[in-house]
Amino acid sequence: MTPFTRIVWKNEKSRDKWGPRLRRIRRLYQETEWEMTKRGYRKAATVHITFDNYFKIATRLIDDELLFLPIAKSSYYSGFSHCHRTPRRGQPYFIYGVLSRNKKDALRFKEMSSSPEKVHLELGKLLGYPRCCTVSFNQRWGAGIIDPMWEAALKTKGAKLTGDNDRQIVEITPSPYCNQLLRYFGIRITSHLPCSFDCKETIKKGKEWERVMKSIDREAYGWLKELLSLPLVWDAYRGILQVNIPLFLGITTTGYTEEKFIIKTK
Amino acid sequence: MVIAVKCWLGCLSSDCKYCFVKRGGWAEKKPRYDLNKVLSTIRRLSKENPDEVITLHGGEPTDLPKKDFVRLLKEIYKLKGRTAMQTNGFNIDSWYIRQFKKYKTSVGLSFDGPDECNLLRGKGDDKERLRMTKKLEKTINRLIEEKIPLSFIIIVHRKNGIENRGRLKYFLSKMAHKGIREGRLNLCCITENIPSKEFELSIPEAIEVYKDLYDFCTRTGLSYSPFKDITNSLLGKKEVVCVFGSCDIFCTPSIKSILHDGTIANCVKTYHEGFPFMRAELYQPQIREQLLLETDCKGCKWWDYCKGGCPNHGIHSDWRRKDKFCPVYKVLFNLIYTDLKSKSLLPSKKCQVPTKQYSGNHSDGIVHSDGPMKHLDSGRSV
Repeated sequence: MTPFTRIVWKNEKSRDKWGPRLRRIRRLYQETEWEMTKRGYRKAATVHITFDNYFKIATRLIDDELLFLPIAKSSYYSGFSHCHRTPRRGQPYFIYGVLSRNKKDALRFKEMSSSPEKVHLELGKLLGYPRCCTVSFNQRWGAGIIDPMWEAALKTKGAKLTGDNDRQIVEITPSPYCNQLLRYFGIRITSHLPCSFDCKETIKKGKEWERVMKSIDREAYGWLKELLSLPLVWDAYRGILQVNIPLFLGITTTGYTEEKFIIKTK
Repeated sequence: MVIAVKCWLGCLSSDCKYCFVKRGGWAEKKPRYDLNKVLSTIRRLSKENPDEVITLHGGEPTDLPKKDFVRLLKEIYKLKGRTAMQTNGFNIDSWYIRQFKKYKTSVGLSFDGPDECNLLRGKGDDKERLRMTKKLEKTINRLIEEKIPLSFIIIVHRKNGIENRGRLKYFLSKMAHKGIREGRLNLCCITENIPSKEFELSIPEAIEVYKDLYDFCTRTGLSYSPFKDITNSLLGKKEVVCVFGSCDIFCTPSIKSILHDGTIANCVKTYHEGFPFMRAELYQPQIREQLLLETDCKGCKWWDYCKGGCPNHGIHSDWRRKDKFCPVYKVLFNLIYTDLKSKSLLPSKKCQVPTKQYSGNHSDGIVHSDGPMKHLDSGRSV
């Protein structure tokens, strides 16, 4: 499936109130990715450069004394994609690369990204991810699971598993710092995929992100936390994901499954 | 596209056993609409869509207070010079017929056939439902006598498809003699909200019933959906019902619904637990198309004519699957294709319904806006 994201609002009130808020929340997250590196909370961050934002980023790199090292071209996608795809000749693309404070870390990141084994443990360390989460990600990605939310839900304390012949359902109470179930729509606090939705290390990291986010846009952070605390139904089936919250239904792509996998949060 | 005015999703005059609105819990007990907001949306949509039909819908429009019913008809008549309505018909009396004449109303009647054929409609016990049906049959005759344009949506289920099919066919013949030669024969579809298997035909039963009805319609010169739509689709014509078009469940191209507070929503079949009522801004059929082409419909030779069927009839009630009646449609496509081929009616090269431009619509009222052409199911001029 061609990657896509789509938000269908439940009513006009939600759209009018939360549409502009979502835009600010997304900008906040992107800004925080940059600031977390600049302020030394992590050694590196990934950045996407397009023809539209090139000048802005180039100027900012100088102002913030950071450097950007390109790693790959990625064919253009709108919203969210689980992986980068090599563009065909003549197709529009953006440049995916690493942002870092020094040459050594940037080169190391590029080397690890380009290696055939894609050394996720080393990449995770540079990006500031908890080790437990990177280990889990490595195992899951290696098993071909490109969207390991179900797996993280099963590892969450108190996870209640139900279902029938056609579908599997798990009920959890995720920590907002660990909640990546809305990340497809730009709604997340931390930048990594956690090993579980109550991972202690992720919560610790999440509080660092929270501090930085609050320093950038406290109001938008409040909205973000509110969204991540709403009850949610994550419904993956045949490669299409539906994420249902009281304000909207979000639709995007995910890994293909013959069965339906549903995560419900309280 | 049709604009359906659904002030109230409730219904007092009937308790149809297969109603997906009532069984889904969306039918409000009491009307609570804001008529000014509804009228405002009607005016706005009429301006944006000058060629489209506006039809009173529901729920049941004749269960609205009469003064509001007339106000709606009057406004639509002012904008379009004619009106349309989809109704269960149980309330229709002289008063309503006078309004129909005054506001040039085309009446789409939900009616499953005479006597026991219609037992799943109406309310109360079987005796009461039969009594209501008998009264409705008289109403139908009266509407015809009064030259009110009329067409039928007939839901095909066990009562009229298996148990009393002869009576249904007799009724269709009788109506044909009175000038009503077109309409719809839609399969009763059970969803998660309507768990009873009592009504829905099994796939083998649906195939047998549809084959028989197709044969009957062909012999008697009747033009009922889905046979008419499959024929048109194979002939490359644009007048094809939305089921065989490229539907986007979040922005249904066949119909825009105006709800009680003036919100613009989608086809009523999309209403179920947690689903957004509000219509998405963009029509994006390619999502389901691409998914089905890679999964359920991969390699299907009828894809270009079918597009995976209705997303609301998806297997397991999921729009990410093809229409669960696919095996039935495949049989019909084969049958009608063979018929057309034997009569040398098929176009010389394979006609493909354009993927990007949606061209199928349907109206539940008499004026069926199937594609850019409008045609009247009744064959009578309006």
